[in-house]
Amino acid sequence: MRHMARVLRTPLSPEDGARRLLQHLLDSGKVEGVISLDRVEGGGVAYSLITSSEMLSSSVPLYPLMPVNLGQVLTRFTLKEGVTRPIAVLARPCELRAFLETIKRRQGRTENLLFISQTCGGVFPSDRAVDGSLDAKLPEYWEIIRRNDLNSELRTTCQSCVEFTPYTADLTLRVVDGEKDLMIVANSDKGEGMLAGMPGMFEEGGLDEQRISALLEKRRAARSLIVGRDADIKGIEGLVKTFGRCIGCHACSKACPICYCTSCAFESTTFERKPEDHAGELEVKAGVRLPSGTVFFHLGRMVHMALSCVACGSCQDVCPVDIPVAIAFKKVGESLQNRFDYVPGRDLKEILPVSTFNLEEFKDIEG
Amino acid sequence: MVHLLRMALEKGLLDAVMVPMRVPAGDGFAHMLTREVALVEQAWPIPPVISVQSGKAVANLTRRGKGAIRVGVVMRPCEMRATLELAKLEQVHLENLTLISMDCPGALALRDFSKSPANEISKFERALNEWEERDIRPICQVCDHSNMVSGDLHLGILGKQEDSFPLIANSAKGEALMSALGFDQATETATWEREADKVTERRSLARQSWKVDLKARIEGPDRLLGILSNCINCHNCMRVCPVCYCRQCYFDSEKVKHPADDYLEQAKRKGALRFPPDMLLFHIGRMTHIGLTCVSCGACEDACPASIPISQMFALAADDAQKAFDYVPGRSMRDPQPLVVYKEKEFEEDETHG
Amino acid sequence: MARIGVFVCECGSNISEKIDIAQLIKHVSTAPGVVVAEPYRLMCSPDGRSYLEERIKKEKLTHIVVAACSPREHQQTFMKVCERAGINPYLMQLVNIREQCAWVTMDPNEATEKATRMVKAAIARVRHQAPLQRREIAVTPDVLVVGGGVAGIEASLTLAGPRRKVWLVERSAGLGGSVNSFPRTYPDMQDPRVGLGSRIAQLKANPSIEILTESQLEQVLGFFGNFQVRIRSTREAGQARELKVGAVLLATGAKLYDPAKIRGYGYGQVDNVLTSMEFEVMSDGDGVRLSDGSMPTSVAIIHCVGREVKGYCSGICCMHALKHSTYLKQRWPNIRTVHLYSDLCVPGKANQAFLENDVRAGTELIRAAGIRVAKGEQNINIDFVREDGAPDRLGVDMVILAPAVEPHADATELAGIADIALDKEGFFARHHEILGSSSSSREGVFVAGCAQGPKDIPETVMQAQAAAGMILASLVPGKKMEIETMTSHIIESYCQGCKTCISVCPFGAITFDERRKVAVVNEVICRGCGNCSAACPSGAAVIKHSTYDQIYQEIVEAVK
Repeated sequence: MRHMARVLRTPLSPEDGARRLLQHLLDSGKVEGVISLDRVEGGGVAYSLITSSEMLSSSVPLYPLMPVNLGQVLTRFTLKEGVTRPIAVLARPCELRAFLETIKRRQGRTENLLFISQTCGGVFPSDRAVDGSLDAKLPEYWEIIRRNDLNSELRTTCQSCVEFTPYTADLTLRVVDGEKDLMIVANSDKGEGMLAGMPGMFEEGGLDEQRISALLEKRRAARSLIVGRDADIKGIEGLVKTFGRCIGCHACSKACPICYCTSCAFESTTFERKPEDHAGELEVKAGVRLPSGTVFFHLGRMVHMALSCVACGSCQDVCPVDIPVAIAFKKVGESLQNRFDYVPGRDLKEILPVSTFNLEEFKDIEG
Repeated sequence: MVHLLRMALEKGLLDAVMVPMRVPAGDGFAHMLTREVALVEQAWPIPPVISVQSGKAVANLTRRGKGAIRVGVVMRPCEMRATLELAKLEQVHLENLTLISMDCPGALALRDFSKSPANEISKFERALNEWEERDIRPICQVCDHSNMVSGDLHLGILGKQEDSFPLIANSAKGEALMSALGFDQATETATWEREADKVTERRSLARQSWKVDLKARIEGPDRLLGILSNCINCHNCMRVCPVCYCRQCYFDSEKVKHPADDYLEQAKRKGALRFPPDMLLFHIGRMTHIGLTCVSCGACEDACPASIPISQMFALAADDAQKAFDYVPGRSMRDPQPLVVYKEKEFEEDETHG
Repeated sequence: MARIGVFVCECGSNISEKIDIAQLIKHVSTAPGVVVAEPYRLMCSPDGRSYLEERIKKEKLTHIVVAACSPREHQQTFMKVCERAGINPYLMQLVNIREQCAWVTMDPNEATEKATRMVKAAIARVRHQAPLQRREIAVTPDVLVVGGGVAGIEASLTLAGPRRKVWLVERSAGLGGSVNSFPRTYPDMQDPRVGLGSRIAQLKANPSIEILTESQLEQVLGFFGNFQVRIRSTREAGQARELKVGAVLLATGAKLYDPAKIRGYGYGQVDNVLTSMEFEVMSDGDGVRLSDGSMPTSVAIIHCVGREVKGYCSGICCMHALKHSTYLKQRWPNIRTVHLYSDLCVPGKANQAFLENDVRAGTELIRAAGIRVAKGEQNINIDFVREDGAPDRLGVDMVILAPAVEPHADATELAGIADIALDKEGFFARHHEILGSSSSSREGVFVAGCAQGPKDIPETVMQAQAAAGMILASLVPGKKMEIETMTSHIIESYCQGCKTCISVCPFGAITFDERRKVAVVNEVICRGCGNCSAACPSGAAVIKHSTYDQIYQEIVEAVK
């Protein structure tokens, strides 16, 4: 990523500017479709693949909601084959990172996709959209961003997120480090080419490093607080306390952009109860919870995907019993990722730690 | 109920029981298989919420076979019905189970419980004492099978007289257990029947008007899409549904995953394509697959992150579909599922003739 | 990479006179994967077939779409071309742009557009088709014949040979069936038992035929070409034999409706009222007598006994009745013989003459309704309503009732053992009224004789020989049988063992693996009907050559 880049200063607000950019890309024929947040029938907000300029007018690209992680959408979109026509995608940094993590696992393709991301101000939990109170919150949301402050009503993962600048986007919309006018940073020649014809003036520059650093500090502090408060998973007691009310619906796993298995191991016959075991189990345990494997599922899922966890918070959003899954996974995930000096989705060329072999590693543990 | 289970265990009439218990943190409930009387004493035979639909829990226990131990299972009528339907589909094996139900006052919304357990518990206690519909979930408010007897034993709470409830045996297994426990067959069930009928009638009436209202809200593609506007296509409803038994849902399978260009083509035809795609297809498809088995338990609505009244929508469609076949899911093991019954003459008023 | 060849047949002018072939070719040649798109005048001709073969080889085509006539006509033709050209025959899709397009669309523009859609859809489908192997299994040519009457005897004699063994199972102690009771048959009035005896002797002398009398069929397992049957002796309790046969022929005959069920006919209440069969036995050796030993001076024969109850005409009883009066008149010319009938059924070249002879000999034929038989002062009174509506009465010494022919009481049980369908009258149902008249609903189980429906002796022999012919043609000693290729397959990891597919399989082709708790398709019995695939909610049951992708892609392309 280039730090001294070309930046387009548009005479439009961030939301209008984002929409205008998508419209420009579609109308100029540079792309044949855009994937963005969109108002759908009934007033909800969902991701849509939009191919008509008219339909774009109802799009809400920067709406602070993540109905599903866009990385999962892109994986679904390109799972079978890469798209053969150019498509622009407006994704948040964690969504983009998640997509890259699935590409490393051959679950998606980047061909013909133009990635537009943003310095991300975070999203609200989905129940705020459901109760209809989100639209009324928008002015306050943007005000807090302008103040470069923290918003305590967002997803806890967003409140504690320190990876809010994208790594691999062709274009970055300056949102948290924005100005009244939308500033679009071109990170690649491809990105810069896409901007030709957009209203506005080019300047040399990049992100506003100062504002970003300031926000980073605040986010780091929030992270310590939130992880300390919500991720009570120390030992069996902690795990049982946090995951005890889990109903085993696996919504977290299905919402997770990294969990890509069509047939999850924890849903397969492998872990199915064998009737001949019950009697034996009751000999050694006072009681057996049914269905079994409540905590086991979460630990297992951590083992399988925590190294790629981008802490987007989708898992927590869909939990019917409001377990702080995302924070627990964030804690474990980041701690593991640090051990390998691995940032999921930072670079497509960075191989998954589980696929690499180093002869000398973890001497402090292995000796 | 707890007393009954304890006695059954102590007398060796059952090897174990499966009962709901409060989880250690107190913010939820889970099914516990146990033979320890001490644990049974802490059980909540009717918990305020349905965390895991008992049909699913019983399937978890007996899908692979009946096992070697005799287990008594306590559940709500809708859970009982789901269990019987699952038995028809080979997902539950009933031989070593004794199924015990009770009159159900309804359940509270799952999502609310963890937020303030104490508050919810007192709400439920009120519902249990007064047996009225103020705080219970919408789907429970219109439940016309809340006193249904279809298992082995049924505790007729509504027939309470002084300190005892009538215990009704519905099968040879139930009768045998009752007499082995030394309970007399309920000689007086008239009170229970009267009170139960009152409740059923009240809720049935409510169901009629609810159906009319709901139908008006969701009729036609525009209104249907409107009510599903916030649906994120997460399929949670399907996963918690006790009678959705497929290991991999058709709507999660390869069959509904298409190459990117196909999606682009679709998007071009309409100007935009919502992602993840096929949300409406999923709901209608699921309705087609399980509509005749739906027991209106509300697990789906409890699990929906977008608060869509999905159990109500399914109950609306299921009611009419089941009535067309004169089929009541879970009424009896002797009723085969309509899909596997062939009748040469059927729906003649609907079928066209050459 | 697929290399798809599209060949459009002009079918002489059948297709080309309605569809613009050049346009069609132009539009389909741009479909992804198409490397060759060509017309040909008559693709099914020897020249056309060699041309196709040559093009496949030259262009190294991997998939073929032939746009031509109905698959019923030439599916096999073009599949054979593929085999000769070295590509799997299931990588070919034949699109019917003749019967389904050119011949039924009026406007040529619309026809061309429709044909274009159809061919493009076929191209989309063929891309997803997978090679399938035709398979054959070894079969046993031996046959089990159940029923030792005329049908069973004739079928056994036709079938048996040095390379084909026949087991003939008969419930009673002797062979011959109903014909054993006939002292004479129409129209020649000769004793059939002479001929029958010689056929039975041939049967017994035939080294390839094993006769098991006082035995019954108890179980039929397996499938056409490979049945396993169990025969139990009714004599020695518990003695059973397991036999391996390739086909089963049921020729168990029928019986007469019991006239005691209709009070008005007086059977069992009024003296000297007999059934047709009882009269046969009595007339053997000319022993026709009343119960007091005297000769009857008048005999009435009442037709259609039970016809209204059964709802069908048994077809042979009128001739049977005329045989009785012909016999009586031949033997005792002064006896009065009267028929009371509702309709007369005398089909066939000889039967009309037989009737006329009988009338000339003095037999009376009265069309009557509302018949009631009662004891009279002197003999038997038959009250009836004449054709003109007026009531009448007949006084006779003896009444012969001609009841309907109906299935044996245990026909249902036997059908259950053989797992075949019954028709609405309770006889063994035919597979197809016209094209499968000696086959049952279960492949490999055949039916012949009155067990399938009332018929006379010539028809019985005809049907027995037909059934034998079907068996001879398909179970050829040493030759293997080809089994269905496009069968169902259940993906184990998706199967939840709910057994819904098993409940809806019409062929019993799916079994349940108790250990793995999954359903498994027997690919030999499976007919690829698709019921299981439709019933399975999770999509675990898939049909070869009709997979989801193939159908979906075809539809998507067709509606674009």
